[in-house]
Amino acid sequence: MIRRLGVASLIAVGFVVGFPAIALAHGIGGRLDLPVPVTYFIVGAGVVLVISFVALAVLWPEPRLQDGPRHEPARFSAPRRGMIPAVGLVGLLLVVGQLVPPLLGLDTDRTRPGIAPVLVWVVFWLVIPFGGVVVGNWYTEVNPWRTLGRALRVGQGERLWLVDRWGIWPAGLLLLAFTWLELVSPGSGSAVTLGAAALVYTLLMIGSMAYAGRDSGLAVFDAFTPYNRLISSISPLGRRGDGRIVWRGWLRALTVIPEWKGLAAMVVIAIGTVSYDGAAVTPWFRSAFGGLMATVPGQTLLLVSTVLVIGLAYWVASVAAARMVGDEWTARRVAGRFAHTLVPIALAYAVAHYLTLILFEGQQLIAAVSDPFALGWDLFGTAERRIDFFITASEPIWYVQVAVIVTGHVLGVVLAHDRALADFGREAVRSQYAMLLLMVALTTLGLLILSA
Amino acid sequence: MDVYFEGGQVVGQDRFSYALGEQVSVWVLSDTDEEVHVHGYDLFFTVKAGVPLEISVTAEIPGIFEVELESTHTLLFELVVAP
Repeated sequence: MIRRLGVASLIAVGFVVGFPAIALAHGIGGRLDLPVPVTYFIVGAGVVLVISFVALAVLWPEPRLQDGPRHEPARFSAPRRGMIPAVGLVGLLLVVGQLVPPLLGLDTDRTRPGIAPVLVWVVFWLVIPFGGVVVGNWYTEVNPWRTLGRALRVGQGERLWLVDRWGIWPAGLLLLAFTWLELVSPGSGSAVTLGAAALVYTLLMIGSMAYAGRDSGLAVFDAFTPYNRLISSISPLGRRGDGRIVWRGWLRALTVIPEWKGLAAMVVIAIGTVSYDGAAVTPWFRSAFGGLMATVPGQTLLLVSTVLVIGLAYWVASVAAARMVGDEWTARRVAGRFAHTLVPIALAYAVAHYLTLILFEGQQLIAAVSDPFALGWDLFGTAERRIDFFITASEPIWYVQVAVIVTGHVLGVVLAHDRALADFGREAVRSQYAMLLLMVALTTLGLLILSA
Repeated sequence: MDVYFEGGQVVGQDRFSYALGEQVSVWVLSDTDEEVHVHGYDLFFTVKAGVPLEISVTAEIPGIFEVELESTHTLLFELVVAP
């Protein structure tokens, strides 16, 4: 172990020396949010504390969400199958297609970003998961790799045991790699980098599906399959086996998420990476870690460390909860049983953090469809459209950000309360103290990052 | 001079704050020819080696914006415009 750490730190030092100073990379755009005024923070944190303690006293005494989703057929039906998969595949082709102009030696207009950054960092990474909270898990249909696998007829035999053995660890680590590309990599805004990354990822997914089958391969190796499933499980809308859309009730699908290995890790990665991005622009973080922030390996170290700190906090809460409820409960088991309760908090972090990115940078899509490869085209006459930063003022954004964080906290507390009742019974409500404390800490951290 | 770019290193204040509607004025000196990109406002300034350049903008969009050297995406400073 010690030797391994030594080698790792040697490699890290080598990287630090080898890289020049770089700007704060971000997937897209160069605009950061103005901090939320401190009064909003105080009010938000106060509300969180009060709600948390009131919740313990007045929430239901019997579990109510644990029997999972209801299946009441909805009145409306889904869009015709085939439409949505085609859209996903076109999106992937547009991103990978960014590699074509440089290969042909064509000159690109470097003042135009092309369509890849906004497709990847706004549509794919934000709009699809956040939209899934409303419409249910549409990623399974839009997933371009599934469509590709179907078209190429790869992945016929399913290796179901793979999911049991590895869980979603590979997917979680790929999600971390994806956020590294977004937050640390200097090439995150470059069309060619994104095209190359998408190509590599596509080959990886085809290999995974060929090896493990379409469902098992994507469940284990596609970062976005479990991520979208987790986030969209909050949604009251789901799809039955026969494709019919059903009402299943808010949050209910979360309580029946399989306890894959790596489930807690994925939620922790989602929370940790957003925390890093939010914290990295605050003055206190910069004054503390300014030296590390100046280099790619330094930023990588800080990104991973932030994830580990959040993971450690969850582990400590799980250990404490396990101690309080008796011998048959290990911390590992508690960590698996309560991982889903952090999903609303992960979503809230992401929505609050990325809200203005969607509103402002998302507008680039209008210009980019006219010139997707930055070749100077103007297909729809919108290529010169600039971002309108005045579609909303700062105050409504602050309100929404604080409200979203507080709501995520409340949903987390509700889920944890329900699970504790189901697993430990009425007497073991004490076990909630540890999780509640963790959630208050995470929520306060979320608000603190917004207002720093 | 407010911000220097010398030998690949940025030296100077890292944030400049203005109220909405004020005139931004940040002087930059570089030892190489560079293009300076003010994000959000999407303005480009060309700075010649050894010639001081004033980044002059009317602060009309609130937010925090990165001002970078376009060629290497090196952060020069951040422009803070408070509403």
